[in-house]
Amino acid sequence: MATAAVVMQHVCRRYLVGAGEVYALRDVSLEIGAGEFVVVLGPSGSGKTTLLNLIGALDTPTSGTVVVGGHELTGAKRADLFRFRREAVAFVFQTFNLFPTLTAVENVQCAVEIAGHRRGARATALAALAQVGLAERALHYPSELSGGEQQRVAIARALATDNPVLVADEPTGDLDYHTGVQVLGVLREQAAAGHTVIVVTHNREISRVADRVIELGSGQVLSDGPPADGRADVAALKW
Amino acid sequence: MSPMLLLRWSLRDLRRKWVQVAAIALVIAVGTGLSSALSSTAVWRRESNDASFAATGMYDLRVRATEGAFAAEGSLLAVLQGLDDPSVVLAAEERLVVETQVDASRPGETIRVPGRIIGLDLADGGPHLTSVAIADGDGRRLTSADDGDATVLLERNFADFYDLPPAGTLRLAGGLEAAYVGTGMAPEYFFVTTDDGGFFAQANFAVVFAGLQSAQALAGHEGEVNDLVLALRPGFTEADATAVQAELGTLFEESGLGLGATVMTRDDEDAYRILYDDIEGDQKFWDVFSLLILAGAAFGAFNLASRMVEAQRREIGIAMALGASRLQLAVRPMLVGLEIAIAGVLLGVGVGMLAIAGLRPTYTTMLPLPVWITRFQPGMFVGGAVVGCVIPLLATAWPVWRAVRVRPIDAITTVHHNPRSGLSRLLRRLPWPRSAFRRMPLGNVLRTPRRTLLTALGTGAAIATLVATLGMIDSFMATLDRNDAHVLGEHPGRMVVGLDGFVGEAGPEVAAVAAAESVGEVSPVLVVGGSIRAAGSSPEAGFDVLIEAVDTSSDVWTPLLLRGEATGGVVLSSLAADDLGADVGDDVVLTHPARDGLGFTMVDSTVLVAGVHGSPFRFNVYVDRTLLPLFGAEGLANQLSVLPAAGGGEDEVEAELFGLDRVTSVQPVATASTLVRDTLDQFTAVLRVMEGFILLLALLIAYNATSINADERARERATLFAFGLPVRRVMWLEMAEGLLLGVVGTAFGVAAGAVVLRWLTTSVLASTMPDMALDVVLSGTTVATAVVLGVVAVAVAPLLTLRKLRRMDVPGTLRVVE
Repeated sequence: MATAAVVMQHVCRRYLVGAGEVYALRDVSLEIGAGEFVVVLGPSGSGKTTLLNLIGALDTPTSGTVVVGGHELTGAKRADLFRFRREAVAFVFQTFNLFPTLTAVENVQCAVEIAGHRRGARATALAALAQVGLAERALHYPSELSGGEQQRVAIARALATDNPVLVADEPTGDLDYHTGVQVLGVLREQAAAGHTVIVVTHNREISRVADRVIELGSGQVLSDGPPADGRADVAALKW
Repeated sequence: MSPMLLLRWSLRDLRRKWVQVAAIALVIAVGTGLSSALSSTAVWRRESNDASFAATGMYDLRVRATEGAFAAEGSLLAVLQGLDDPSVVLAAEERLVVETQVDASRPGETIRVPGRIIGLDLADGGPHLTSVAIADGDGRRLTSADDGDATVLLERNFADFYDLPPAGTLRLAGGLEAAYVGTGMAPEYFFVTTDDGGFFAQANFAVVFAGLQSAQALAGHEGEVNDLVLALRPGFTEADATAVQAELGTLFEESGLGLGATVMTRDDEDAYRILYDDIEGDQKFWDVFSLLILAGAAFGAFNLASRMVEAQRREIGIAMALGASRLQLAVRPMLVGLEIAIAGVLLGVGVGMLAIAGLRPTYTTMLPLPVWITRFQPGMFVGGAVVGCVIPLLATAWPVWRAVRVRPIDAITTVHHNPRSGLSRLLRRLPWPRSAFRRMPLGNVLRTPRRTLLTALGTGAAIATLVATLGMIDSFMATLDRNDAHVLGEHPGRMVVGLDGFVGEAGPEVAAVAAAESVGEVSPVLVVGGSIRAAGSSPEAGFDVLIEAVDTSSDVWTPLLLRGEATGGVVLSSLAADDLGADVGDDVVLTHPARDGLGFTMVDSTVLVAGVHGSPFRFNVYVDRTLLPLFGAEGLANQLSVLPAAGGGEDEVEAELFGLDRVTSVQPVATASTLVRDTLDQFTAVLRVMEGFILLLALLIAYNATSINADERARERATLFAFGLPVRRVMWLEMAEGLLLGVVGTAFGVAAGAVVLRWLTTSVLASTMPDMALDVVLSGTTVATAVVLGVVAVAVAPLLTLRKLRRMDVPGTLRVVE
C-alpha cells in the first residue's frame, strides 16, 4: 500500500437520542493509501456518511483517532481544522449543498478561491464544469438545474479545489446511467492523478470500479478488500 | 474569496432580501431618528430661549421700586449718571408697572382677572428693551403715535388661554376702557407666574402693555415711573453684572428718590429662571424615553438582523466544509449588516426630521416663544447613529460567531429539521388538536424554542416600548383625574374668589360676597406660602408648600382624606408624608408666615400630622382654620370658596362679584384643574407624537419577523404545495403560528412594559417631577392596543407575504436543498 492518506484507529461516534445512545460507528480502524479509489458500501444507517464526515473534519469522533494527510484531526484546534478543510480535503455532499444565490460557475469558483487559488479561479471553475459536462449550464442558478445537474456542480466544485483527498457521498445517486458513468470516470481520473478518492454508496455495482471496497454494517467494518470479481472498467458498469 | 465575487454575492443577497433589509433599516431609523429628536429638546429649548430673550431685548438688570412708590419720569435714568463708568450701560428705559384688574369678557363668557399695566417707552421705535413680540396675524405693534391713547397690547398667553381675538376692547380697573390692537409676548411673561409663586398663571393673570404716557393716564400716575430696565455693554460677564447690580443698589439707595428699589438680574425674573431651569429636568425625562426607544429598536433590529443571517446558517456550514476562514465566513453577512447600517442611518436622518416636524407644534403650542428653533441636531444624531451602525454589524457577526463554534455538520443540519428538538415533547402530552396538520403551527413553535423566543422578544421589545409610552399617558391622565376628584370634591361648580390682601371673615368684604344673589354658600380660606420638613432635619431637607387654612366643617369644600383627621394638625399629601417619612400622629416642622405687627415674618412651628389627603401634588398642605392663631391670622382670609346659588351659574357669580370691593379674581375651581392639565399636556402631547412612531416600529418588527419566518420555511411551504395544499390553507398555518408567536411576544411585551413603566414613574419621575406622585396605571385601552398590535398584527403579517407565496416557484424551491 502507498503512503497512508487516511488512518483511523478505534474510532467511535456515538449520538445521544433521548435517554439512549446510538452508535453510528463502533471501533472502526482502517488505513487508506494515497491515490487509492475506495468505495464504502453499506445499507442506510450503517455509518457511511458519518465515516465520511469524520474524514472530512466535518464531525469529530467520540473516541479514537483520525489522521488525514498527516493531519491529526482528533483534538486539533479549530483554526487548524479550517485550514485542513481548505487545503487537504474536498467534499461532495449527498444533498449537494450549493449556494442558492450563486450560479453554477460561481459555486465552483467560490470553492477554488477558498482553497487559496484566486488567480484563474473562474477559468478553473469553468474547466471543472466542462469536465462534468456542464459547461453550457455554467451561468444557471441551482434552482434552475435538475438534481443530477446540481450533483455534477457539487462534484465539479470538489474537483476544482485540487485538494489531495476527495470524499463523495452518493455522488451518482441522482444521476442517470450515462451521467453516472461519466462522473465515475472523472473520479477515477482523479485517483489516477494521485488523489485519494473515497466514495460512499449503497449501490454495489459502483464498487466494482474501486481499488478497494470497505463494507460497513451497524457501524462496524464487515469487510475490507478489493472488489470480489476484480476491478472492472467504468464502461462495464450497469444500473 | 475575491472581493468581486463577494460583492456580487452580497448585491444578489440584497436584491433578494431588499424588503427585509429596508424594513430592518427602518426599525433602526425610527429608533435613531426619534431618539435623536427627543434628545435634542434641551438644545432646542436653550437655543429658542436665547433667541427669544435676545429678540425681545430681555434686560440685563432691572431696577424695581417697592409697591406704591413712584418717581418722576427721567429721574431713574438720571441716577445712572452716578455710575463709576456710565458707559457700562448700553441702553436703559424707564417703565411704569401698575397692578390693575382686566375684564376681557365677551358675549356669553365672563373673563375678569387681576392684571398689570406696563408702560413702555415707545420713543424712537421703542421699546428697545423688554419689548413685545407680535407674531403674524396677532395684530400690530404699538408706535409712538399710540402713546397717550387708550391703545394697548394684550399678553398672548392670557389671550390664547381664553381664545381671544388679536384685537378687541378691555375694561381695566376704575372702569377705564382700552382698545387692544394686538396680542404679544414679552420676555418677563414667556412663562406666566403670579407673585405668590403660581405657575402657568395665564388663566388668572392678564398683562396689558401700553405706551408710557398711555399707562400713566390709565393708572392715574401722569409723569411718573417706577421701573427701569438696563442692557449692559456686550462682553460683560456675570461677575461684572453683579458688580454693577451692587453699585446700582447703592446709587438708588442714596438717590433720595425714596423708592426702596430692588436691583434684579435676569435670574431673579421667574420666567427667565424657570424657562432655563426646567430644561435639564425635562430633558432627563425625555432621555429615558429616547433610550427606551433606541433600546427597543436596537433589540428588534439586532434580533431581526441576526435571524436573517441565522437563516443562512446552513450556507455558513457549507462554506466551513469548504474550508472558508472565519474572516471569509463573516464578510458576506457583515456586508448585509453594513447595508442595513448605512440605510438605517440615512433613513434615520429622515425619520429624525419627521419627528422634529411632529414635535415642533407641541413645543410651540405648550411653551409659546417668539422664536422657536428646532433644528436637526447632528451631534445628538451621531450617538444614536453609532448604535444604529454597530447593532446590525454585531447582529450579523453574532450568528457567524455562533456558527463557526460548532462542528460544520451541525451548522449544515438546521435545527428545525430535528422534530425531537426543543419543547416538542410537550406536544405529545397535549390532547388537542388531534389533527397532525393542525398541530403543525404549535409544533413549529415548540420544536424551535430559541427561534420562538427570539421572535417573541423582538415583537415584545416594541410592545414593551409602546406599553411604557401609552402607560405613561394613562398614568398622567389617571393622576389628573385623581387631582380633579380632590379639587372638585362634591361641588364641581365651586368658585374661588381672590381677595386683595387679608380681610376679616366677619368683615364687610366677605359679607358682601355672601350677600350676592348668585352666591349660595361661602367659606373663608387663608392661603400662604411656606415650607415643610421632617422634625429634626435641617431646613435644606424640606420643600416648598402652599398652606391653605380651610374650614373643615364647611359643606363648600374640604380636602379628601385618605386617613387621619382634618383637624388638630396639618393634612399632607401622601407623597409629602412619604418624602418626610412621616405619617398621621408624627410631628413635622412647618415654616410659615406669622403676623408680626403690621407685617409678616417666617417662623418655624412643630405641628402634628393630623391626616393625609388624596391630592397627587406634594405642595398642597391644609390646616383647619382653628389653627390660624399659629399664623397670627385668627379670623382672617385672603380667598373665598364659593358655591353658586341654586339655579345660578358661574357667569352670574363672576359678573356679580367682580365689581365688589377688594375682589381681584373670580374663577371656577375647574379652571385650576384645566391649568394643571395644560401643564401636563406638554408631556402627553410629546408622548402622543412618540406613540405613532412606536406603532410603526412595532409593525415593522412584526412584519420582518414574519417575513424571515417565511424565508426559513420556503421549502416546507413548497412541500405543502407539492402535496396539493391550497394557498389559503398554508396561509392559515402561517397565521396560526404567527398568532401563537404574537401571544408569547405580547405577553412578554406587556409584562416588560409594565415593569419599565413602574421604573419610570417611581425612579425617573421622582427626580424630575418631585412635586407630583404619578399613579402607575395601564388602561384597558393600552393593553388592548398592545394585544391588537402584538397578537393580531403578528398573526395577519403573513398576509403581506401572500403575493410571494402565490408566485412561489415550487419545483425550483424543492430542487434546492437548503
